[in-house]
Amino acid sequence: MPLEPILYALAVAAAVLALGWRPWQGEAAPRTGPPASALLFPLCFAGGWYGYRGEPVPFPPTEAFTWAFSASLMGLLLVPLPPPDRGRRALGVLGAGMIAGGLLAWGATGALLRREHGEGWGLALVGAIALLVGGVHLGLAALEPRRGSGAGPAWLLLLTLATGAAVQRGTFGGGGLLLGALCAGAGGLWVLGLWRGDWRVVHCASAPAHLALAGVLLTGATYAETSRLASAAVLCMPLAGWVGGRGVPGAVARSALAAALGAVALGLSWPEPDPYGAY
Amino acid sequence: MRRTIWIPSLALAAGAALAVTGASASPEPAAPPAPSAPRADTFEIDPVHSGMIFRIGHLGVSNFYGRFNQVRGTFVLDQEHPGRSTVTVEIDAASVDSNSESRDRHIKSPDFLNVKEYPTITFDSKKVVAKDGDVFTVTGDLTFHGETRELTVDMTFTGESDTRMGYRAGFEGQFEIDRGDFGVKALSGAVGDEVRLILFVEGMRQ
Repeated sequence: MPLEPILYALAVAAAVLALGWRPWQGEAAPRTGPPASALLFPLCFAGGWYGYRGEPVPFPPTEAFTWAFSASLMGLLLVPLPPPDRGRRALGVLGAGMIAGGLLAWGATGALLRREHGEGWGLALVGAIALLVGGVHLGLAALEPRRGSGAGPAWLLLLTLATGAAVQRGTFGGGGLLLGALCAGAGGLWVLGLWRGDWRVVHCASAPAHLALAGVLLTGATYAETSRLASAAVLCMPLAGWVGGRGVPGAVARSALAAALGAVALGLSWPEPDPYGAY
Repeated sequence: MRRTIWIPSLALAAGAALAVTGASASPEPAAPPAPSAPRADTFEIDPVHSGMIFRIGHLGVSNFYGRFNQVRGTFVLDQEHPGRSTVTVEIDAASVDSNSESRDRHIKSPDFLNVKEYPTITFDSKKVVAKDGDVFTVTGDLTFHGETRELTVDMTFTGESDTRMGYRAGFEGQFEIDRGDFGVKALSGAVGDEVRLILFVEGMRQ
């Protein structure tokens, strides 16, 4: 597929960084910068969508795929809830789960799940997905205070998004491209984090990032033929950050678990050989 | 078109009258066959003998043809008052067949038809006008990928006959849409925007 969505998202990320250059110089930057950086993911999604469809991403959503953008936007509501303590962390988990569950319960995807699996199982699936999304939010957002540095979580987020893009390439090109666009946002976070030496940008931006990731993966798994197990494995990759202790051995253990989950996901979704190249 | 329906009808009626006359030596002369009143016949589309073919440009170098295999619906054919004729067609979007399973999967995904969210393509006529010969101009609403737009199609009557499979009539017509008008915008450029659709239906009289 053409790479316009990723190029557009890269342009958006560059523009956000350029516009944020001066505000980041001020005294208030440590307070205002990280939350503002959370805008990067919805904006990169919107840029990627424009490259994909040639039109602005609809809001409110008009089709199931566009709910991913809405989820990402609603994730901004969780940004003022960094998890310095257990109470706020629980609120963040609850918020992420409620956003995912709410969008699913009232959106087209929830209706499809209920239609395909029956009312009871459909609702149970909606609940399970909401729980998973809440848990992954915890996995990402709580990592930085636990590890003392956001570089690892930032790398994990980038790896997760890139794996998600690779998982979808064979069955849902648009999903792969949109996750590629989110990779551009994650790359922007890397630049911000390195430049400021302040990795709080990662946990502030984690909710919009992983809610968008969950939305795209769910779209691929329900509306296209992206492997559901592979999608779940990708969604769980950030949880690898909870494994191991500090130092090099811990980092190796975390990387190994993330790589294993990624390998499982890629193995499950490896495309069949295609004698005609594109098809 | 009326000629095609009347000639066999008259021949059958005459044959029946002759047979009756020959079989029973009734002193009463056989009554002349009463011309059956023109009526509006309802036909159910036979999905096995109907379909829709699409043509779309590929990379600007060729035209690719594929088809939708599952077409259902009904049409009412009023030959005396064509304006009273109607047609309703429902096409199963998931029946798309491009002669490549992996490509079919991609066409069914949200990149193109998004068949789980928009499982059917429908056409409901609003107005039918006899044009010339066996051609009818049908205006109606085409709903595709969740978008509904008014469309006018020239449908050509391809024949009718009382077959061993029952009384049947057929039509076909072709029209062009811009897929972008219906929100199917992915891969514009590599895959053409204009899509030519050829609908052919065979109906079984109810």
